[in-house]
Amino acid sequence: MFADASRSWWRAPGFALLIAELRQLLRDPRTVFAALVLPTLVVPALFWIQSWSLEQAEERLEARVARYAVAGPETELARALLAAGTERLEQRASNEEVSGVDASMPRLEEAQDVTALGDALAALDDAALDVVLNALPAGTPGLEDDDIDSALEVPLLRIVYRGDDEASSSAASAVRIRLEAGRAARRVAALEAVGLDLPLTDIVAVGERHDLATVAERSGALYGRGAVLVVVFFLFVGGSVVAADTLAGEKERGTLESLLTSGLERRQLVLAKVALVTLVGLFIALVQVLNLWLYVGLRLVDLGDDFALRLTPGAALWLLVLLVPLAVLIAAVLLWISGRSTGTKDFQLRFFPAFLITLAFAAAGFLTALPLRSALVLVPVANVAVGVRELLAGRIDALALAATAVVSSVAAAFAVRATLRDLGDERLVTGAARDHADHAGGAALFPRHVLRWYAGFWVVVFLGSTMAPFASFGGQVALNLVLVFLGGPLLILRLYRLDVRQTLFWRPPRAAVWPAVALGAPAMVVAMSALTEWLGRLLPMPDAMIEMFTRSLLPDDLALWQILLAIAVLPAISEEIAFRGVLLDGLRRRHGAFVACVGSAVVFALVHVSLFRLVPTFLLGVLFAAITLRTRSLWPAMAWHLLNNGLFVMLARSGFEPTVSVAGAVVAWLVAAACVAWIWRSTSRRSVQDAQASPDRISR
Amino acid sequence: MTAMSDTATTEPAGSEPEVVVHADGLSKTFYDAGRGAVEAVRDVSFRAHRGEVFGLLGANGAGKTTTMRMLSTVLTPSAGDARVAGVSVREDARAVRRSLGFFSASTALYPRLTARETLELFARINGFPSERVAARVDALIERFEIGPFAKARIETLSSGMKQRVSIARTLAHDPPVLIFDEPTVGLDVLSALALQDVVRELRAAGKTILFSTHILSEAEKLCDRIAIIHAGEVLVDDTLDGLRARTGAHYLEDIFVHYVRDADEGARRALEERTARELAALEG
Amino acid sequence: MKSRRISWPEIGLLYRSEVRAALRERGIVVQSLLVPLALYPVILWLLFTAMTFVRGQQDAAPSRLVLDGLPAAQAELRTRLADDERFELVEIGEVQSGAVDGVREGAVDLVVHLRAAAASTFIADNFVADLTYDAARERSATARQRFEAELETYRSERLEAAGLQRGVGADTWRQVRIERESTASDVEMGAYVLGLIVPMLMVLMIAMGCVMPAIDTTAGERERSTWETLLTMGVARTSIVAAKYLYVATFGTLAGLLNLVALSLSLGALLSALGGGDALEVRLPLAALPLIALGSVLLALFIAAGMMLLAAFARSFKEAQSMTGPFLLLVMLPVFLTMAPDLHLDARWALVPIANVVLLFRDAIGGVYHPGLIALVLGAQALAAALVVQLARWVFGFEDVFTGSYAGSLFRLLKQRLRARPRIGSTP
Repeated sequence: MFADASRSWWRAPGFALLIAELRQLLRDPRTVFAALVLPTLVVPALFWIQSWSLEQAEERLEARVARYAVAGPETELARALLAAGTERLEQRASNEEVSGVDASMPRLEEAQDVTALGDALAALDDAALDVVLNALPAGTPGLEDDDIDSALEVPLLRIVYRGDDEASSSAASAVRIRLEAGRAARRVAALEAVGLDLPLTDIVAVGERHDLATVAERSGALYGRGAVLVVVFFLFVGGSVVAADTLAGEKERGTLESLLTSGLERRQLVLAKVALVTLVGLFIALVQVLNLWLYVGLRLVDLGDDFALRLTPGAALWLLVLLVPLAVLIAAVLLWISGRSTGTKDFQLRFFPAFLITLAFAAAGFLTALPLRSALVLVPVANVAVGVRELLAGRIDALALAATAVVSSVAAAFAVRATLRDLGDERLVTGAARDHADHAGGAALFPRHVLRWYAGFWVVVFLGSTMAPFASFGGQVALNLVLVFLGGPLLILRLYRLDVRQTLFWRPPRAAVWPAVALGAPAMVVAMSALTEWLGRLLPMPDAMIEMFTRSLLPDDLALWQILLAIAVLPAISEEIAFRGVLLDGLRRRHGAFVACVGSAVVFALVHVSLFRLVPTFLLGVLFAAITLRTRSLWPAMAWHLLNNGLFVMLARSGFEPTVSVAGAVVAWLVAAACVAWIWRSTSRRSVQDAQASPDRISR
Repeated sequence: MTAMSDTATTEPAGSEPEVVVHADGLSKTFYDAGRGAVEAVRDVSFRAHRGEVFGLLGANGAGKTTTMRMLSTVLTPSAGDARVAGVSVREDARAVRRSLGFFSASTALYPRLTARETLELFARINGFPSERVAARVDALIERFEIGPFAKARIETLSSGMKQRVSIARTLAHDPPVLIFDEPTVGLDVLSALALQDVVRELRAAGKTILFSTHILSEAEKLCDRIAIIHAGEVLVDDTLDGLRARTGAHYLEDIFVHYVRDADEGARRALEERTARELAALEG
Repeated sequence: MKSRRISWPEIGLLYRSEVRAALRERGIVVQSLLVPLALYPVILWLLFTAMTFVRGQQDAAPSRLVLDGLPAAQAELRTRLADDERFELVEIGEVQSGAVDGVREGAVDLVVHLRAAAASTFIADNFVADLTYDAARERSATARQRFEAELETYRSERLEAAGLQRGVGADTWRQVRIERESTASDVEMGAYVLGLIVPMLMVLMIAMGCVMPAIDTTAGERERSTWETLLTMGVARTSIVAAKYLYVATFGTLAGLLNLVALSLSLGALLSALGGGDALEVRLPLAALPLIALGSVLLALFIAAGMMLLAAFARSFKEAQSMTGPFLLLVMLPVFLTMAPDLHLDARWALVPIANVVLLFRDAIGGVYHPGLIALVLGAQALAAALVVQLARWVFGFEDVFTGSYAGSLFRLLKQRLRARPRIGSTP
């Protein structure tokens, strides 16, 4: 680990530093209390409160007698059914010796004094009644439209309740369960009257249930989903206690200088501190997990009878192999944040976003349908989350787990290296170094600020999409396309006094580009729809959501031209100006063409604020950016975007849902690729000429 | 073997003293939000020899700390280089740091370590041979009379005690070069005098000492050679006697004012000339 | 004790300068103003996206099942399953390692083995279904549930058909239709959901909104060495503390109210994104706003006093944080007590500080006002705040607290002071 091979590692200077750091940590009672003692006490307190309030809720439910009234012409039928249902449920409860609270709670009591429907409904509104059972005669249409005529031939029992009142809702459920039980009992009675010779449990029923999973595997699969989430939480919270103190805190206290002027290598300094944060994070996570385990084991927290987690030595070893790189990764990130912060206060501001993002990845364990043997194995943190779940469920897929471990280790090594490189900088001492662009202002500053601006745009778009006044179709169009994506870039152009033609690539491309765009766009629509279908299999989206999405994009109450304007024309102008104009140019000046393409596409995908559109929008973003850079003109991308969205609208409007065959998809992709290749070829000489004409735009 | 020098040093008699610190055209440019590009240090060159206290004298903000930080490799020079104990600060920063001890009033100690632990830690992380660490720490504790509180945590010590531990920390790995960056800022008279004694003792032990200060009397008493630094530039670099001969003034205060005022005058004139040229260019 | 007299103009002046400084401090603006405004919309969005994602995965994945030993007369069961897109029938031969191992490996979700059961005159070829599945696999567990539900529907239909043949009338079989109707309007449902979520988050936000200002204005000042500057100014010490206290409480209240506004605006759109849920419309509860604001102010006054009391001892920002952290948790504990949705304000709960305000908010958002209880809650909460303020006054009365003695420890103060030593001069 340390550089001096000539000496034993425990005599290495970095190790001496690590020991000294640990010693200081243990001598700080406040930190020990906040990081270790407090959580150990709070967790059981939370569990206790939870079980107490559950008990209280149960008691309240048991003590409660819900009042209902029966009204309408079929009152007697309703009462009879309720009585039959209650009897049947009681019978079943005594047979199976069901204890505790069951679904038919609370107890019910009829309010004899209310018989008129109007009075009853008024009483319901005043919370004097919990449920009104409106027994309507045969022939009354139900609330759901699809009642067919033959179904209308029986009376209708309508359970009227208040959905905004917990007591009323639970009473309504109880009434419903009783009515259904009563109806079932009467059906059996009717069948028995005509000679039913077997109890229902013996007719076309489920016989034996063989569960191949052991209790341990079942609970492993259930609790394993959140296991890494909990571990990551404690790694972060525990690790941040030291991380905040170690670089950011040392800057504040002035002890960092003595380390930096010592003969300790930067590398050893950072490694020692990564080791420190890792150790502390792992230790705190371990203590907290054991703490939880203890409460479960001692039955202080009751997870039910079928809870049993068991770890084989092999699985425990795997667990270690998976979790240690995770801890190192998080430690490196924390240390990097700490090194970049000016003090502990600053650290906390920067810590929070990283914390949230990592937690989001760690929640991947809940994606139960996603197997580890997939692209998931390449996603740091998420792969460990799924891997640990599989381990706890008793499924040891050595190959996938090994791949996970390798990916995590590589990610951890990369993070440590990046931290090393970044903290090797003298910024560690002097605070944020600024360079010339900061003071030249204007155009020179723009590439540096462009991502910040787009982060701001994202926030506005995101908040707009969630907040009622803007969430409508018109509101979204006005806010996103006009205000943010058109107004924002124009504001940037003005503020930084940018050359409009240059920044927006505002010039005609070669004529040869146009046929390729005209052919490529339709091919791409087909190719994308094939891709979307394929992605839909990978990341399925609930039908309801697809429907809502389509409705939000294509409202029925607008004319075709309005929709085309809003979905095709406006985005082609404003989104291209925003993403392939200002953003692309800004990124390209600072990071080069490749990063600019991918970066602008990532931002483009993210502002569409939908997980399900992420991949297609990203690919389109890369395509548009590449075309723009290659042709040195924004116009082809605009045209392509216009055609793409326009065709999409026309297809969706016509109700035609293309199902693309594999061959069709391949052809579409090939055509699209050929068009791109054509654009590439037809512009090659021109790009070179441009480069010679304005060398600074290429070389930077 | 003393606390001041762990290795016996023999001065090669008669010969020109060895150059231990050699700054050669050091420059450092910072970018500051308010002022833009600031050349904190411009083309600073000097040589400091073995067994010499080399003073860097300048007002606040003259570029002393930046120079010292470049010599101690905390900052990388924008231009120029420096060799400390024969090693370039650009090429092997770590070897440079191992051969120097850096002391400044703003450097703090770890509050939750004891004095002994602090000394051990800094001896070790500076690569001091580990079998000799204990003896070295004992020697330092004895020299600086840390013994009575060697096992107490730093946070419980008084500022005078901390001061002594801090100096001992700087010497923990027995470096041949010592940098004292404004060491007496905020010290009372007695502590400052004690510190000066330490510096003299170190000089006697053959160390090379770079001593930056804005206190003239201190420089006058302590330094063998003095470089006057002003607005990032070294104006002059000579022994005290040499400076007296050059200026004809006796007191360092007068010498200092002489150079600094000249420099300011020159700068003012240069600015005026440039403005005049620009105005002429505008009009013409 | 002339200097104890409160000078409002002086407090106002100091208060304004505190607020102005705070608005220029990035940390405070982020934590007290931006986080309440944006954090929960972001978190809820992430949560709901993930939920729809998970649900989409479960819905879309068909249950692969092996159906073995189906008697001839029950062939319809197979047809039904084959037509249902939620199921995918797999032949035993297709599973190489055998059906049961296939379940274990996850290649098949459910193996259904049908065996002949006691003969019934009602149903030809009566059978029972033995199920083999792996409950540690979500997909397999879902397959079992789906199949069992499907089997029950199948039985019911078979029995109905058999009954019909034997003369049980269709009406006798159906008897009644049962449906549910909620009389609560979309807006009332929105208020209900808002009432479940917002009050707890508001307490959290008020507390979080107090943290940074409380620390910054006490320990932060000490760290920046501006504390002494402040103490040497020509104003009464009471005014300084009062101004700081009011400033902290202001930011706490602001954080809570901003959170209410943000959630009222975004919750509806976020919930509707879930799809399929009950129709609801979330609106900012304007009618309840005055009461909520009043409750927030009292809560903020209580929390701010507690935070400042603890933070004032700290010598550094970090120390202050580790002192206020436990207090934050302490404040949140009563909130967790009120999580049950069926809990409403009553005389007992009205006396529990913090929890009473949560329940008050919940009722107010739902449009329920009991004047007596409201008065009780406000009174109890005001009393709690007054008690903490009194404690703070007592503690701040010691000069050495001001100058930063006691090594940042409240306990040290209590230990030393409670040994009945004479009280040292309280104000200059």
